Order: sequence, then C-alpha cells, then structure tokens
Amino acid sequence: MRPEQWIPLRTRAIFDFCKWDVQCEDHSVLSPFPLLIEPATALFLNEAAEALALEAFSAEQEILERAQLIGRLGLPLEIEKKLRIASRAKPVFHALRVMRFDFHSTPQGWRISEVNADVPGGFIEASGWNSLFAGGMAGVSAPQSTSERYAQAVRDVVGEDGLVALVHATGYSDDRQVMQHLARRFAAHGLRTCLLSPAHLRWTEGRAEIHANFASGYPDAIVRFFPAEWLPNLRREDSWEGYFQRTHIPISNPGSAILLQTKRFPLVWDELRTDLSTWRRLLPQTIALIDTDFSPDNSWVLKPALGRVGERIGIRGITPDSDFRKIVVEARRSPERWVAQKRFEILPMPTPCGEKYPCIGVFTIGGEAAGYYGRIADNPIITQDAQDVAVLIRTTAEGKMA
Amino acid sequence: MTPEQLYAIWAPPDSVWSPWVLPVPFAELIFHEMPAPAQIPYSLEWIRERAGRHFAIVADLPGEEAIHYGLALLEFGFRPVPVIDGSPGPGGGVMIPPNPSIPGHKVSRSPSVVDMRGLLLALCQGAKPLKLARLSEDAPPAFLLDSKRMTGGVSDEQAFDNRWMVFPQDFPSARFLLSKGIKKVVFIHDTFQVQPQEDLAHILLRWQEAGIAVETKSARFGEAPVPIRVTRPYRFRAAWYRALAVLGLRRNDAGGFGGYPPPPSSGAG
Repeated sequence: MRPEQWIPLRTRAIFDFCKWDVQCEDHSVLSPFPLLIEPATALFLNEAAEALALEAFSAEQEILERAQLIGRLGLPLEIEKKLRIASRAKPVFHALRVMRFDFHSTPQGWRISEVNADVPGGFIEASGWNSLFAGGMAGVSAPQSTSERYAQAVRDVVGEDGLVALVHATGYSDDRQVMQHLARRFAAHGLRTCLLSPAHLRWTEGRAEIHANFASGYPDAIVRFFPAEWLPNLRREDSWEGYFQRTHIPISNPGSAILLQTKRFPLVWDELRTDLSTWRRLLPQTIALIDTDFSPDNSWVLKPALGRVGERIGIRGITPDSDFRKIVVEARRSPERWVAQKRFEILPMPTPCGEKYPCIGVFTIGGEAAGYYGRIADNPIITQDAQDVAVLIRTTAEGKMA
Repeated sequence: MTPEQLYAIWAPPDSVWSPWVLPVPFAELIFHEMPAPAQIPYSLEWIRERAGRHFAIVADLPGEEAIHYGLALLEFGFRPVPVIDGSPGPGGGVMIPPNPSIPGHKVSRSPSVVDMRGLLLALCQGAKPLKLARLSEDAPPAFLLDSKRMTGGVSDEQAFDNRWMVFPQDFPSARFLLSKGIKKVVFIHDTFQVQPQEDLAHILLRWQEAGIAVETKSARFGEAPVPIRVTRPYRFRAAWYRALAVLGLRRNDAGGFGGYPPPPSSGAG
C-alpha cells in the first residue's frame, strides 16, 4: 500500500475507531494488506463458531450444576468458592455473552486453538479496521461489525438511554481504547456509558452501584473488560463478588465465563452429559500433566490454564529455548494449573511481507456469529507481537486493492 | 483544529520518528482555540556545545515540563516525540483552554490520579512552533515522557487511576536507532537520581547493551551530560515482562492499578 493510502487509513483507525496501539517497537501493529476469505469459508467459520458457542453454554451450565467439577479447572481458590455458591443460582443469561473462537488453517481443515470466553479483545479491528480496509478495495465486503452487533444486543436488553458500565483496567491504554471505541458505538445506539475500573463498583444484593469521584448511579448493564481471575485482587470483596452471583442486571460477561476460558475445560468433558461433538472435532486433544515427569516433545504445546494473548505458551523448537525451559519448570511445579495440548500444523500463507501464519478470531454474541478479528504472525504462536490484519470476504474472483 | 490535525503536527508523515508518537493523549483531547506558545525556561547551552553531533534525547520530566523541554529543543534541530501512554480520564477529554465562563476561572481538582491537563495544554501550545520549525526528515529524536506517570498526585480510591508505564515496545529498537546514525542517548531528568525510573531503565539498558552510549544530566542545571551505566532493572529481558508488569500494576491496588512490580529486594520471583 502506498503511503498516501496508508497514512489516512491509519489515521482513521486511530481517531474514528480508537486504535491507539498502532506501533510495536519497529513494526506497525496494523498489517498493510488484508486477509481475503471465500464466502464458503465465512459460512463454515460462522456455523462452526455458533455450534461451539451453544455447546459451551450448555457445558458451562452443567459444570455449575455439578460443582465438584469446578475444582479441576485450575481456577483461583476465591473464584472457585464463589462459583460453587453460584451453582445454586438461576441459569446464566446468554443474550449478551461474547466469545471469540480462534481458528487456524491446518492440513486437516480449520481447527481452533482456544476460546476467549471471558474478555475477548479485537472489537476495534473486527469493526473499524475491517470496514476501513474494505472501503479501499473492489470485489470484497467487510464482515459484519462486531461492535455494531454488540451495541444492538445491549440496546435490545437494556432499552434506550440505559446506563452501561464499561469496566476495565483504566491505567492500561490498550484496554482503555477498546472501552472508548465501544462507548462511541453504544452512544450511537442511544445508550449512556460510564468508563470505570472494577474498584468503582459496589455490589449489594445483585445490584451494582457506582462509587467514583467522577460518576454515580446504578448501571443497567455491565460490560466487563477485566479478566475474571484478576478480580479477587481487588481490595474490597463487594467490588467483585457480584460477577459470580445471581444478579438483577445483565453482565457481559458474567464471572462464570472463566469455566470456559480455562484451558483445562476439556479435562472435564468426559464427565459431562452435554454434547460437545463440535469441540471434540475442532480442538486438539488436551491432557492434564498428571505427573511431573511429563516430558513434552515436539508434538505437544504447554499452556497455562489462564494465560492470555499467547503468554507462557511453550512449543519446543518455536518458543526460545530459555523461555521454554522456564515454562517446563513452572508447569512441573504446578501441573494442576497447566495442560498439554496436541500440537497441530498451521499452514503458513504467502503474503507481500513473506510467509505468515494467520489466525481468524470469530466472534459470537448471544451464540450468533458476529464478525472476525484477524491476526498474522511470523511463527505459529499468536502473541502480542502479531499484526492485526483486516479480514474481508471476497465477493468476486477479482477481489483486489482498488 | 481537530485532535487529528494536532496529532499530524506532532507526528508528520515525513518524519521517521512519527510512528512512536503515541496517539493516546491526542485522541481524547477537546480544545477550541490555539493558546499562545509557552515560555521555555531551560538553559540548553550544553547542546550548543555539541552542535553537529548526532544523538537522541530522552526527557523524563514532570507533566508539561517534558513537552516544553521538547519544544525548546526545536531550535537545535531535534524532533520532539511525545511518548505519553496515559489517558486524561473521565469527561470525554479535556477542554483546552479552560472554559472562561466558569466563575473566576476556578480550576477544579482533577478526577484522575495523574493530572494531565498541563501536559495536554502544552501539546496544544506546541502546534505553532512545530509548524514553524523546519526540521529535516532525519532530525534526531527527543523522546518526551511524563516523569509523574507512575505516581500522580491523588491517592483517592474513587479517583480515576490513569497511571501508566513505558515498555520497550513503545520505542524504536537499538538496531533502528543505530541505522539512523544514533550512537548516543542523553537522558534528561529533574531529580538528584542519575538513574532512570525502573520502566525506562528497561529501554535504556537494552540500547546500551546494543552499543548505544547513555549519558545523563539534570534539566535544572547547566552542566554537561555524564556517561552512566544503566542499572539492571527487575525482570530485565524477562519473557512476558510486559504482561507481568501489567499484572503487577493491577494486583496491588483497590483503585485498580496503582501497584507496580516490586523491586528485587522484596523477594518476589
């Protein structure tokens, strides 16, 4: 892409869609080319993600009802206790549940590496970056905008003029930008928003009240962009316990989402009555590190139960040796908080910048497909160093840069 | 002038350093008119004595002083590069200048832990001098940081906690600097500590280990910079340093995020 095309596009991403983290050391976070997929691929990804989401909802409910399974998922003890109590509450409300399933192209077809069921990121890219890129190309269309779909879903639940608390790590601009972006989209759908930290909320009998020096009131809904496993670190228990209890307001996502977020979720599948056939087909075999002598060869990937954005994922031969050794030591020290997942071959694809490994995160909202977040990396692990790439659907065989 | 027009002045397309001008403070800025440029109080004779030598500057000074310092460097051919990753906080942005209809121009207390109003005003004040400056495309960079980023002023748990840190990912690599002829960096501070703050040490030591000389001096005095050996910070080059640091940032504070990674002496692994 020529600079006279690129710079306005980047500027629009920053100021129209709040994409503030556009540079990482020497490279642009935004890829200068898009990822084109065929309509049939889009249809497959959507249907697979929807099937995964529905199976996941059912599995989550069953785990909550069979509380003895919760202890096997590698969760923080405080959360485990709250979830055991929550198991006696009403079924989880799913209309505002947001998930992102990360799909990879393999020689055997599409496979998923994980689901981000707790606080999935990528709204800006799945909405703004895709649509910006599509505007400069012929023969392609942008997938549906995740943020528009989300705003509409929230609006449908809370009604016009409803107050939505956008709970996030206020000091972290990577999170702040997502909240600012969603606040704009929500406002366009007639919603009021308040951006705050989880410490600015107090929960009483299933209702949250804002306690801040810049805002007050009772939110009609909560969007949580703060990982569930970090909530118990808050000083006040009444700032976080509500996420794991029966509430009178919808939470997107409730604390129980951590039951699916943990990489140890597959370890309880065999004890569930829920049909998880789509999961079994698309997620590689996942095993517990039963004994500390487990010695991962090249065919296994070590993953922490609650790792984020690729952190602490160990693949022999790909993860730098010194890091891999540390991961193995840590996994052997606390095997109950780790899993080993069968490694699958990811197909690289040729790009204008050499071979890259793509990953398409498919969002679902309320169990329905809701857009794509694309990333590409120089190696098969998608980490914070990956680039964000627009995902576009080819509408004609000639789909190309205009 | 819109926020993006102001950003384009600070990060012009023809500067090689523009990718490192973080958009965060610009994106939430609201202002109605262009204030007059600030008076620059610093003595910069030490730079005049080094005329013709190609080096970079990292100015870690409180709030608006960092920006003013960068603007003063325009005269010496430096490109100011604000690396400000903090959000001003609630209210949808900061109005510059303050609304004159408020009786007595009363300045209310900032709802945020780090009061960024002075810094934002300074960014606006920089528009005119930056537009008038005739900097070359490869003008050496002066990276500008707010030294109050990790402390702020308000210690109220109901305040908006907007403290932030810098990470190696926020800066060019040593390899990039060297490719642009930058073989030395002068670190400017306003304390009696010659060593950089913990987060900045992660960046300066990486550069130093790659062969870039690091010197230091106080902004308050006119002495010449002196070479330093940057002290190895906690978790230097550790895998997932960024993730761990952010985790530490969030763990220790009910307001959300005020605690920072403990120093090595605390024994944390």
